Amino acid sequence: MISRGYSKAVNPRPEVLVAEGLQKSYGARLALQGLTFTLKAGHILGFLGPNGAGKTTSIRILTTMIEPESGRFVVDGIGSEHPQQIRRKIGVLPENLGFPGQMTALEYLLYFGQLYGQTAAETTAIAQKLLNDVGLHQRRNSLIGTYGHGMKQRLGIARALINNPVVLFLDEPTLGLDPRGQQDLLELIKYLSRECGMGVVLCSHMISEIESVCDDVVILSAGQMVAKGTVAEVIDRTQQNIVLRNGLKLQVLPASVAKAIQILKATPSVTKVSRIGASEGWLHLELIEPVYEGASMEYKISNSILGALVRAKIPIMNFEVEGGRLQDVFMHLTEEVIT
Amino acid sequence: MSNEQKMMAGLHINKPSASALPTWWLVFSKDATDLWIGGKALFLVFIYTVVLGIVTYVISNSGFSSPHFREMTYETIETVIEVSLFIGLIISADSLSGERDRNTLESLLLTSASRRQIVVGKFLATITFWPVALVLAIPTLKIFSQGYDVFGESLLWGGILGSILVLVYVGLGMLVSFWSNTNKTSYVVSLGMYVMFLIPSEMPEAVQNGVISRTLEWINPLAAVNHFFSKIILNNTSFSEALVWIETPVAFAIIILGILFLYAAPGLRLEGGRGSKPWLKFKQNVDKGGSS
Repeated sequence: MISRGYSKAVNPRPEVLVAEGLQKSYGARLALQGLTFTLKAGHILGFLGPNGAGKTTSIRILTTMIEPESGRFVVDGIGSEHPQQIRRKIGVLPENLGFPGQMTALEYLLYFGQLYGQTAAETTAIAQKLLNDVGLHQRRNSLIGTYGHGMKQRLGIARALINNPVVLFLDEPTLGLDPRGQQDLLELIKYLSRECGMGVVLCSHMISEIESVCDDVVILSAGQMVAKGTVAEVIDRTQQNIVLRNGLKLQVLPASVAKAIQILKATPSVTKVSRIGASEGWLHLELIEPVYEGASMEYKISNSILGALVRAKIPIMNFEVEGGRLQDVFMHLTEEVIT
Repeated sequence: MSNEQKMMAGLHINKPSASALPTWWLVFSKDATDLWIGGKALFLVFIYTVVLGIVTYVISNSGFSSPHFREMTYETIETVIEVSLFIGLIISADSLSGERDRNTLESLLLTSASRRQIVVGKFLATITFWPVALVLAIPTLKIFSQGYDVFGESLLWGGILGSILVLVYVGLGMLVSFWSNTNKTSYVVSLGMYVMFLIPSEMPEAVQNGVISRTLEWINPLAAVNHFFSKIILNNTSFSEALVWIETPVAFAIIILGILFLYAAPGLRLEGGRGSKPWLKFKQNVDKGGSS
């Protein structure tokens, strides 16, 4: 799907988007409070949060669609007090994007390219290339009204790229795409970021998507920023609070379940063992809560448990540290704020 | 290296080209095309021709005879303008709130295009129906005027005053659409305004003899224009004597277009209603000032 026709943009500013203390409320409801983060050129920043967490409000503020009550942001050196100049630097795929059904994809991109001040000739060249990149070149002269949801989503991404933005905002870009389409799109996002040097803000409900493509992540809950940093940092910081408390899941051969339970109960770091499901051999272990002594503590405990099973010649089929994934971190952090 | 060459080479270009088309023209071209090809303009103009045909039939069979060619011409031009204003309101009421409803406004506002030029382009596209409506009325006017000078008079004054009223009504419709979050609200408010102006203008002359009635008639742009027509076409009054009756429509046009293009248009937003209300913005500023 992706052609390698772009050359890498040389961006002298490593930080293409800086947000400081953005705040917004609707009446008495505080929709966003103190949003502060930095996005570097060539990086992908994931925005995570449950419904109503403030993701869309954040995106709308950063794309100049609504004004923050306080705080400011800077896009490629341009402050938020110059929204029109910022719009020249950004590309946006909103969550619910409507399309004029009576236009063809090529006409649509030509129209938007010209609205950015390009001539028809300039826009035609880039539009053809973008349609090729998003896999719509064959259908470029078909009416958009005849497109399916996935095709419209691809066209929306092409439109977001028509002005060759420095920062690209994508709000739920893979929504409604088939698995192949999702994979292609994530590849395109990675390519635009890594090879073209764009800063990308990716808003998604799909945590696996954020985990697989994002360098940094911001987690929002009830309008507050509950975590930010690289994906690894956010997981690591949260693990210090939740991993040791929550425990482990492991799967052994169903025939060995009884023996495994007996051994695990005798292991000092395990406080409770329970079965998950009836016949598949999954066990849930609750662990002791030792004083945190650094990241190596979790491995010591895990190794002692696994070692006991291996010595007893019990085959281990699966092993999972609870709280070791971004999903666990997300659930933990968003639950805390909501409750 | 030209912008096109830079684009082909894959380099970033963020500066507009000097030879690019203006935003208002792009928006006008697209909206006019949408309106006339598969849009609602053709349908509404079809309805208009049907109404015009019915009115022609009714007037022809209402007992007016040849000596009453002035009355027949007057009735026709009045109907042409009133129906055209209805069409103008319907189209303009959809112009911005309709885009909000269809989720197409956001992509337009996300571009670096000037908000005022976007509104100008949409306004110009909306008024394209009026020349068509006027041209379609010519055969009827020609038939009823029976070769007398009244044809030229009615076409001239109908064209001028109809254009002024179309600017007023389309401007009003766009303002309502500008501040409405949904098309439903926009249509209801616009039609309410249409009826509010139409009903007093349809009152019989006998009811409008008092000073208050005359003043209300003068204030209402549609009623004032109808009165002007009655003076010029029916009573053959001189232009200078009837001039007072076109002051209101002209003033309305200046005020409404001023509000639309100078005040409202630069603040065109994704959300109508609350977010666009200037007094809330003012209150926010006062609160900020107070808290600091």
